[in-house]
Amino acid sequence: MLNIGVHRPSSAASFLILVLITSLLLTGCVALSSQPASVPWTTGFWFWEGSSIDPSYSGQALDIVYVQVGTIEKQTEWRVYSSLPQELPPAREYWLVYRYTNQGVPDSQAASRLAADITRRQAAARDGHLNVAGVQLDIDSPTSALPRYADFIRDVRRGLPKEMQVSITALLDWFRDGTAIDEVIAQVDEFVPQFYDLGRPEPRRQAAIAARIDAPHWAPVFNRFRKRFRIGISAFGRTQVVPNAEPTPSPGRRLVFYGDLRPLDVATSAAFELKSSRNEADETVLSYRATRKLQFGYQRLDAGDIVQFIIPTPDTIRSAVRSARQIKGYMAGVVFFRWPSSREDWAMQPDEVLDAATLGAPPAHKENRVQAVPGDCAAVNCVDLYLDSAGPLSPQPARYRIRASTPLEYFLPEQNMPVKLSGSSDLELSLPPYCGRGHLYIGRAVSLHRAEFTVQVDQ
Amino acid sequence: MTARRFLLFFLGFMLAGACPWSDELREYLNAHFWLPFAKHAESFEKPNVPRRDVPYAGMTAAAQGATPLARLREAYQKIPPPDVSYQIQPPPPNLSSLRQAVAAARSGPSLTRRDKEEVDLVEAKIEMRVGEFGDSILLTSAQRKFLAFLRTARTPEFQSEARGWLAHIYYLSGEQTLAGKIYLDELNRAGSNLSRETLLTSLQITYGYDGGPQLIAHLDEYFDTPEHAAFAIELVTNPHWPRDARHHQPFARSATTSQTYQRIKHLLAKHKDLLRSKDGAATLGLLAMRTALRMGDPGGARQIAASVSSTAATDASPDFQWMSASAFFLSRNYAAAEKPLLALFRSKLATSGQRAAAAYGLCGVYWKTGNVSEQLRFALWLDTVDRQHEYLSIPSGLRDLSVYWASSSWDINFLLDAGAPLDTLRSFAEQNSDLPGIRLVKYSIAVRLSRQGRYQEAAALYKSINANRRAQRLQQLAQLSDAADRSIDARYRFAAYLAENPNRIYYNDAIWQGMQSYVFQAATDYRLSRTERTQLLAAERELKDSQDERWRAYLLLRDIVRDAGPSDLGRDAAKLALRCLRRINGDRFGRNEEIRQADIALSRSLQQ
Repeated sequence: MLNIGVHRPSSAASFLILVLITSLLLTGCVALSSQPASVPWTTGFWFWEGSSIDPSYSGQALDIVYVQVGTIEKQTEWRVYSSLPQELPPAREYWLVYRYTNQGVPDSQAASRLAADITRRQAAARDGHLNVAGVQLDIDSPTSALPRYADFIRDVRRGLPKEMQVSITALLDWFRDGTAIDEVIAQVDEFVPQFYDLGRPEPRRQAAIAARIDAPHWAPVFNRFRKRFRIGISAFGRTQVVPNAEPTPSPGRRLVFYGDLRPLDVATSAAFELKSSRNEADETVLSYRATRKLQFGYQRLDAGDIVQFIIPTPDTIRSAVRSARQIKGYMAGVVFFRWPSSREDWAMQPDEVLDAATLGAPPAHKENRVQAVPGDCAAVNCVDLYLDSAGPLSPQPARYRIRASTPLEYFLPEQNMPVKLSGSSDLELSLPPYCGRGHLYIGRAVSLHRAEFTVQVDQ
Repeated sequence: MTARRFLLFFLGFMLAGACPWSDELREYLNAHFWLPFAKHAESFEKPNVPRRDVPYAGMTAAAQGATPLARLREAYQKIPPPDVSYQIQPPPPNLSSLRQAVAAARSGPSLTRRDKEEVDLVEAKIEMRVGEFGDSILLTSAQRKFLAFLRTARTPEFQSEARGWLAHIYYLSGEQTLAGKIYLDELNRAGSNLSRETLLTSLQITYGYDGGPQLIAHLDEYFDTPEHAAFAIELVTNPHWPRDARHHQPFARSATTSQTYQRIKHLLAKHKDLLRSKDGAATLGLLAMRTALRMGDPGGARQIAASVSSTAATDASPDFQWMSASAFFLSRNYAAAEKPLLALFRSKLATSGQRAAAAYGLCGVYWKTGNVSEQLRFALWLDTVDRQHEYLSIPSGLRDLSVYWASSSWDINFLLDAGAPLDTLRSFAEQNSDLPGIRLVKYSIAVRLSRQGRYQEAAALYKSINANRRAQRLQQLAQLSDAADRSIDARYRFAAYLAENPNRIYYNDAIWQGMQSYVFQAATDYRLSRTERTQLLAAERELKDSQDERWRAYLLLRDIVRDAGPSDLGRDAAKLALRCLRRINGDRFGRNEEIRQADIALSRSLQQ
């Protein structure tokens, strides 16, 4: 009796606890035994081929940087090519990223060569006083090939020093039911699902790079592996030409992507009309519709064709980071793809991304700044001028007056930059709407003596 | 015909792509031109260091199988070197049989002390050789054996060999500092058995051009001897600059550069006693000047130069002369830069590359001070001096001084074609009639005379230098020109002759080799003052107008059309004028809108 009497309430309590745990597990709140003691939150960037450190960068040390150092290629046999960038943003921790650009999974021959290369690069990175935590494989394995991918990672891992951690980037499709993602994640120390470019861009689809992060959906999916993970968030922009679809799309005309076209290049032409919008992920979409047939660079445009820019905004970043933070559990932070290149002065700059990622209130009042980067002149003072606008994506046109402290000999404007020398030491700059993004290269100023530059908005 | 043209265009395109050309022009206007001279491993070699040349341990030719030591040598010599060029390596040699050979040799009868040392050294080398096939434990073991060997060995050639292999293992382990110091010491060690070529190559492989980030990171460790410190500072301050700057890209800026040089400055101050103990304050002064110039502080470099005690050795040092000139030029005291540059140009200690640097620097000084005649002298020297024996490496180019040769010849070409006044050219030619390259000056004078309509003088000058075809052409042109004053028909014949001879009268065909358009840079050249820019723009325009036979023919024909009115001559002149306009090379000539309007006007006049 006593036993029964004691046992019954205990049994009921156990049952209740069991129900509670089950329901928590089902809703994704994997606390209790599966909850890691403490996973520190980190914010990082992918530093990709072409990424470069702009003089305007504040220099703040990042938590983590994933550096693309190598590629895996199949020629007659497997090859691994790698090199460390000469300059990297300061960070507490670096990961060496190797990318396989083809669809599919490299084989075991590639694995041994990759492991040897990683070891060499690790030594070189340490010589450069980089704190290398591990290697990340960026391989877009088809979902059906995940078992082979797991084998490949196991093979690579065998050839690595023990202290070298292994990370992978991960496609969201891998996490649907019935895949072998468990086998892959069993081989790694962390994984980084990428929330961007989910579908192939098509003319009729909404223009977007970033994907909205549905935290309640993804939290149980990612946490069930009990492995550290971070979320990959896009911070890059894209330019594309969308062919006129009215009345019917012309045969053979399709979406064309541009690497080096800026909104300013289009906005300063009278042949376009601008329509702006925001997409689901809070990216700004600028659509410049050609009003007549014209030749634009190497591209021939028909009336009605649209030159479209998809631009990340602080809201894109805030919204993504806020959602990512709700995932909790083994979630260890966010990684932004990617650190911009020097040609992408209209892309979201790292400081702007980091400001937005802190989720604090937006900076109260940012000031317009002009920066002069000294050049290589022996007999005059030559500087490149950059504008950091306080209203980078202002929907209104803006006029700026940049003043030099000494008379300028002359000024060489950047191509398509609406700027002119006024008097001996003033530059007048008229920016069309949405064209003040980033560290905007204005042109080259030449003076006999060292000049300081200030900027003010012209009313 | 179309296919043939396409093929020619395609071949030309491929050729242009395959053979990038030199594009130096007014290089002295770049701050990087004035950076200190680049230093390479051989810059740190003392003269006349006596060396041994004895076979390495285990490498003597031995009677096959005569003794255990001979068998060991034989076995050692059969070890293949790892082939680093390929990812697929040959199998590593059999270590245990090699070790047996070592043991047998060691237990052999009547070994001398030298023989015993040879066996010990070969044993360490075997571990190193096998370790090079990817066995780091064996490499570490070999390293220990070399160190132990060096503590006891007495045979000098084996000692230096062991030091060399020890450095090799350090290099393989990524220990640049340990490896480099051994190589450097061995380079200047009397009696070393390591060849000069081996050591220079090893230093080059270990440090590359400037030692890379590893040298910067370990800089402090070089301040153990004056030689090591000087080597490290000189190498780490080797000149660098972005090539992009020459191609109108935005200026690049490295955030870490200034930190590095501040650190060097601090290290030099901290260890000044070490450097003073060598050659007095001069070494320290030269290193400090080098660092100041590398930091972009010419004022600081001038102050240091003034404080360096003047000795015959310092004053005669090409480095000191070049850096003094750099400091003056970059401080815009152009006239003061002349003296050290002339001293460098005349110095017997200077290399041919350093003399070329001085000559090109003098071109800059004389351009700035308006001494066109001397500018011409040194530009001509650069163009005509025998460069056949010089190694001009491309694309490393600027890194190892080859820029100083101005291989493009664009500086002298522009000077001859437009930059120097005609009177200056003539007096220069008269006063320097025996100077190498003076024929080119005379030819250019004849071209300039032609442009001024002084055809008889031009013809005579061409004839005097045996440019006979040009002389005949100019003679004929002189007659046509004289007649042109007398009738409108003669004017037409004169214009028609010009139209029939593009690039053969007013164009200087002796200098440009089809590259002239690239020299018209005044509109985008950001290194000029406003006055210089205005003058160069005007000079370029004047040159384009005066050298284009078709344009000049068009101007004559346009007047004939106007004067002849609606007549056969007027129509012929209009047709010929149109042909001239349409064949002008727009890329080189410009005035595109003007030509378009003129074309429209002439076409309309022909339709009427």
